[in-house]
Amino acid sequence: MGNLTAVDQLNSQITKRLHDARVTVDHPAAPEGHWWIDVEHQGYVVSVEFRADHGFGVCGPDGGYGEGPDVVVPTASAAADYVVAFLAASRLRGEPPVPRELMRNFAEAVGRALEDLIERRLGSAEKELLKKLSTVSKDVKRLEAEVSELTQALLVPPARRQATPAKKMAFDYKKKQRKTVKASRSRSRR
Amino acid sequence: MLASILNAVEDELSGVPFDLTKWQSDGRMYPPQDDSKRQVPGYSNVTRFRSRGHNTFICTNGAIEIAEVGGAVLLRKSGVDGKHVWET
Repeated sequence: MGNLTAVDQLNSQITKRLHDARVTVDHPAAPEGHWWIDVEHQGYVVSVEFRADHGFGVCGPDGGYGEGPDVVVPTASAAADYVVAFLAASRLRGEPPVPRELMRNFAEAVGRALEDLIERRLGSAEKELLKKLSTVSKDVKRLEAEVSELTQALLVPPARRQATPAKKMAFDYKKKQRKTVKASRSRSRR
Repeated sequence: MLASILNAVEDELSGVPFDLTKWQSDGRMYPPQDDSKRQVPGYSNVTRFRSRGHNTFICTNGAIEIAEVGGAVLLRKSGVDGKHVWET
């Protein structure tokens, strides 16, 4: 019996017993290597290792790194029976199912939520920064105007300084008075 | 390296002699074997070894990664160049 035929037999035996089981075949680099058939049903997973010279090794859900299968049987039919038994035992033991798809979906959802959060936080941070920058630029403009006024006041001679209306009136009045005094003095000399 | 460490630990603590022909029934842990080798698409320098519930990835630079079949990574060791399996 070829390796692929044996694996196909196991696949069909499992599907016969569990119509809605998901069977995944993990094939080796070389056809004569070890094949792994993972059977997922209602969130529980049982794996079968097929070796041409040994048969089918069925592994229950719990197993440490490097451990061998729980039971080894020569035929695909017997292996399928054990697969069903292990799945039923897992359900009876009430072990919480951890569907791989559910885990994957959860991981993807968390990833998406994080991306959204980062995008939203960055967006609001950018808006806040722009708002602060506009306030700062207004303050800078006001300060520039004040500095320019002060500079003008310090550098421009008093006569040329921009006077307030009251000061201007007083200045004009004094100028007029000086002119009048000058004119009367020159008239009295004559 | 992985195989020698695992075998040394099992020799010291399991009390079961190394015998690959009894891998199914002796209760001893065995490291990944050549006949459980798989290629990794897109990573010609990485080899995957499938075992019960786990995948062991070994890179040509010596980097090792052990992950559950579901994807959770259990061990990650960098290679001689300091790079991990998927960084090469």
